Amino acid sequence: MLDRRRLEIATSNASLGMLADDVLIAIFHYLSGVGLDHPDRHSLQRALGILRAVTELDTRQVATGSILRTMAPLGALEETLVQVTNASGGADTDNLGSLISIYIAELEAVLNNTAENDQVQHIKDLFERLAESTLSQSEDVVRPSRDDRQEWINKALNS
Amino acid sequence: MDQQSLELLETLLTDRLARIEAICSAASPGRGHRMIALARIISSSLAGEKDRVVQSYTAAGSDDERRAVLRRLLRLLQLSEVLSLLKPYVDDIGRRDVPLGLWRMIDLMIAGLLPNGADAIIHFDDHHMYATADLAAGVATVLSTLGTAYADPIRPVVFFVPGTDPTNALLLPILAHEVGHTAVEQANLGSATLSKVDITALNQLFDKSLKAAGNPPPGPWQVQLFRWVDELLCDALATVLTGPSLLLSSAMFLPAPNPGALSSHPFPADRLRLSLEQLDRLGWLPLVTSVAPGIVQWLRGLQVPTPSDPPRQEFLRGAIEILKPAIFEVSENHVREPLNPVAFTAVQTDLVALLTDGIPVAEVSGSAVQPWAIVLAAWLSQIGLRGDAPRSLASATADRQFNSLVHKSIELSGILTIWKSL
Repeated sequence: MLDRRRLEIATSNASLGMLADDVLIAIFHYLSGVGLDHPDRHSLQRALGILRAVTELDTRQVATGSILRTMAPLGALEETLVQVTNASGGADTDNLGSLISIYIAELEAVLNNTAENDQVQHIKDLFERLAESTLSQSEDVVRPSRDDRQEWINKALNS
Repeated sequence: MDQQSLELLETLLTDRLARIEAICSAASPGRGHRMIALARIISSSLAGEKDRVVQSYTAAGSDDERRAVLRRLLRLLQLSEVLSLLKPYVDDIGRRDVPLGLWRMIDLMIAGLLPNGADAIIHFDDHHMYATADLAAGVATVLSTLGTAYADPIRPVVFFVPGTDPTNALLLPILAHEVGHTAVEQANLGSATLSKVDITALNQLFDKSLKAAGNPPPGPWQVQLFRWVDELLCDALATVLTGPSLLLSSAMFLPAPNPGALSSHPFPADRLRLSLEQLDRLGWLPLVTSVAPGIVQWLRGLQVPTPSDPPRQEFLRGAIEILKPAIFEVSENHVREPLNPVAFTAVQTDLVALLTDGIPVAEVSGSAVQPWAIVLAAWLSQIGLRGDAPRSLASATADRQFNSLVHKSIELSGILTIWKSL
């Protein structure tokens, strides 16, 4: 069975990963001094939107108008939350919101051409981790091991 | 990675996409063919992105940038493998071995729940499970990232039915619940529900439960609540569409005695209790309690499991109490051509009597019978024959001869409807 959740995880990882690659390319352009072109700015804006949506979920208010909820299926929302949380190091802290706020400020500084080197390095590290982890997760979904296949079957049976 | 790696990956991806095109070209014409259109949109997007990546590699200003560009090529390869997962369903396009009754019921589910329609692909699955997969919704995020979209309002949707029991008529309301998932996604019914609630009460409960749990990250709790809301919306949509048949088939299929676990789905006892509440709201409860008082009493006595995570369970169960009026309202506003208790009562006696006598029913009092009325009458007939007890739900669904009779009735009433429209 091609279960809905597996399809959503595979495609949301690919989508998030491609965005992470694009943000990294924008950061390389920023660091090299050639400046940001239009696609770079578009990628950084989209990344900002995702991070802001994740902070919306990290509050003690139920997100009645969640941006991510309207952007993608629930499986994609859940996967994005997990991936961004892990890449931020937020899984080991109860302060995910503060961490993400710092990343948002750094991305805004890159867009405004005012980011310091340590800020750029910090945001670059986040998107490097996101790029690698999404690639690895997609690999597990697309080419599951025998054990993973059984896990997917179990998930499908319980969905 | 280097230029040689780039060339290898490019060649590999080109070959993969060519193979996918070969599969698309060999697909049969007929229902479900929009899946081929979708596959071709994805495939051509991947091909276009591949060309762009190759150009970007040449223009990259550093090794770090080249590495990011090549990683993108690896992602495109992964996506081409997602396309390969569709192969079994390509083989289902235009299939002619599906009973007409099943096609008719799927058409009714689409008409009742999916305002934009759907291009159905029926797959007899190796799992004993009903499900649907809206393929265009599943790949929407990635298509958006590649700068394109599936623009046809009619989307390809795979309907999974258990391969060992594909024509079980009494369990068709479970498939209606699954079509509900596609309806919830397409019409954004989850957000519509949350926008109607007393948010202050919900937030107070959320805050109190988080404190009781030691203030864990709230994100996963919110996502779990969204999942529960979606599941309950699907139950509610199927209840509006099919009447009490959803309650009876759920009691059998979940099955009701399963206490469940604190997962993506609400507990069976709570789901069945909410279905009973909605049936009361819709005017069905007098009929159900008169025909099956014992089964209703048994369902009302079901218990949820002992909490594994008491604050989280308290939050989710408390939240659905706050949310249930909105869930009922949103579902009732969404469904078209729901089964109506007054209309059903007018044909109930004749319909149940004919089915009980083993006679396929096409019409009652000169009018073609609505298919969901046939399914409900079939349930009532079986409870009348086998007794007002939970075991009757299981033995009725296991009766293949009777389920064939119900399917035959659905087919005949469909033929009659077409005949009368000529």
